[in-house]
Amino acid sequence: VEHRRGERPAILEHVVMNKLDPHPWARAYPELGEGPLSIEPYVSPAWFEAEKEKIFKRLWLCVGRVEEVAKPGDYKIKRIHVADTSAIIIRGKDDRVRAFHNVCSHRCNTVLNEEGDETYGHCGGAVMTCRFHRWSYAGDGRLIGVPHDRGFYDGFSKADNGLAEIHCDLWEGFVFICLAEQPPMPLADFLGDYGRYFAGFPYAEMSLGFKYETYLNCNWKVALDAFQETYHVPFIHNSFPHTVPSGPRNFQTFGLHRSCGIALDFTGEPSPVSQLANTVRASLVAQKEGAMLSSAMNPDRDPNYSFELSCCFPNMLLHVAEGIWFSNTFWPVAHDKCFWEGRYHCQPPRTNSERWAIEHSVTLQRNTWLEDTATMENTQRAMMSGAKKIQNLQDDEVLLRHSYQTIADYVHG
Amino acid sequence: MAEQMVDPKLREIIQRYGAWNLATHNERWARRRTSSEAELKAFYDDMLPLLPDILAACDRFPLGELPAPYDALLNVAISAAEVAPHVELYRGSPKVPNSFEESKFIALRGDRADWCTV
Repeated sequence: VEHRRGERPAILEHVVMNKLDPHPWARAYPELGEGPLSIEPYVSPAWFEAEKEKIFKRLWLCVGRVEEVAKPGDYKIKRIHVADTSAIIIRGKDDRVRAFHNVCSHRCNTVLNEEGDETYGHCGGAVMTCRFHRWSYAGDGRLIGVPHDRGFYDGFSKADNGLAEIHCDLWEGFVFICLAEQPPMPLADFLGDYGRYFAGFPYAEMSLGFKYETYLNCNWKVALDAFQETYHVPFIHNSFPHTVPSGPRNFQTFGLHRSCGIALDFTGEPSPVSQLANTVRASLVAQKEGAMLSSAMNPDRDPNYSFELSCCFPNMLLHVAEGIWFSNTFWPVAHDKCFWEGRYHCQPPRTNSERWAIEHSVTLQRNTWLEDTATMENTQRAMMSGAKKIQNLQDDEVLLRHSYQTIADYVHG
Repeated sequence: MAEQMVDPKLREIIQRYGAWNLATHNERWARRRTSSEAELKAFYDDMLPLLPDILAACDRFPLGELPAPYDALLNVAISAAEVAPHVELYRGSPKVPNSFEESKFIALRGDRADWCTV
């Protein structure tokens, strides 16, 4: 990479600021430690198996938004490799969103056809019918139709052979499932203070959603970590020379979950087309007025505060800002492979020019994600070399440290 | 269809850049990736001064109700928004520099013309 020397004095300022107080988070969270972290959790198949059993098959996982299944009969099927299953998320005729394993009670064919990791569709009358022998199920999972059912024997009853249900609950329009037979706690308790901190944001008003996804040949935590710090931003995203992010501000943990504020320092004028887009419709990098964010956020009322960067344990990074929210979710597939979903949500355009400005914002967000994801497969390959047993974290990478520790506690617990 | 457009500058831009009149995100994205640096620069330079007029012309119609020539004009303007970062930020490179392989990113509904309004 060619560096443009002398063009970004604000980065130096950022470094100088850190030097004034280089370890605020180690002092605030001594339990997270200061030492290097092992790379074993990123390269070990045994560690991956432990994460599967102790985290992903046990705890609540966010699998989407209610808007994705807006009308009765709408469904989404999500393959969850890390739990060896596919979940059907369907809105029933009673308007309730439920989740089921996509497994027919007859001879275990998938009830609904899947096209890749995520499949969207609609069932008339919210009735799910298996293509194989046309067994059909109501939106609440009851088995309601079996062709030639008299051919089955005594002891077979439709009432006992509904779809296998998955625990499903909603928070602020986000759909969560828990694959455990019995969730260790209700969703509200799992989210706890994190859920309260992020409640009330007008997620549903941001009904226009864009999503990019891809497989990454890296451990899910390599990708998660890269998105949990802003240390990389001046270097990986050096195409934005005039936008310099802060390190974590007001970092706090909520049990398993964590959050911090990020301020953006604008050291120059936006590029001409960005400037035009900003005048049409404020985008992420435009400072703007508004009061969508909770008063608990940005307690110092920093005028440069831009967005909240948070992790909903284990695998979803949720960000809220005035006028948008965006998220990154990392689904483990194997110890060295994951499926990434990046979402960007905003209010729908009211005019043609607003539509144009939104397209521009989405383009910039996509390109930023393309820059982010560029390092991940390289990191994994280098980790797999075995040349290094540890990684070194600085104080601004405190979110990674908390992430590492909470995951390790489950794996060892 | 361009004849229906009153402003001769806008009429001309549709005629010259009809190849960028693409209805979907995936098409605009692919065209940018496969264009040359010189093509992107010429397109950007011609479009930049006209963008405010183009958007104002399109805003005379309600969202989703653009007559065909204005729909074409907006498509070309959105293509310019796709291209702009490459001229403004990436020193002309038709690819996002130092990025993950772009063709491996899948955009949900990226093949639908209404992806920005549904």
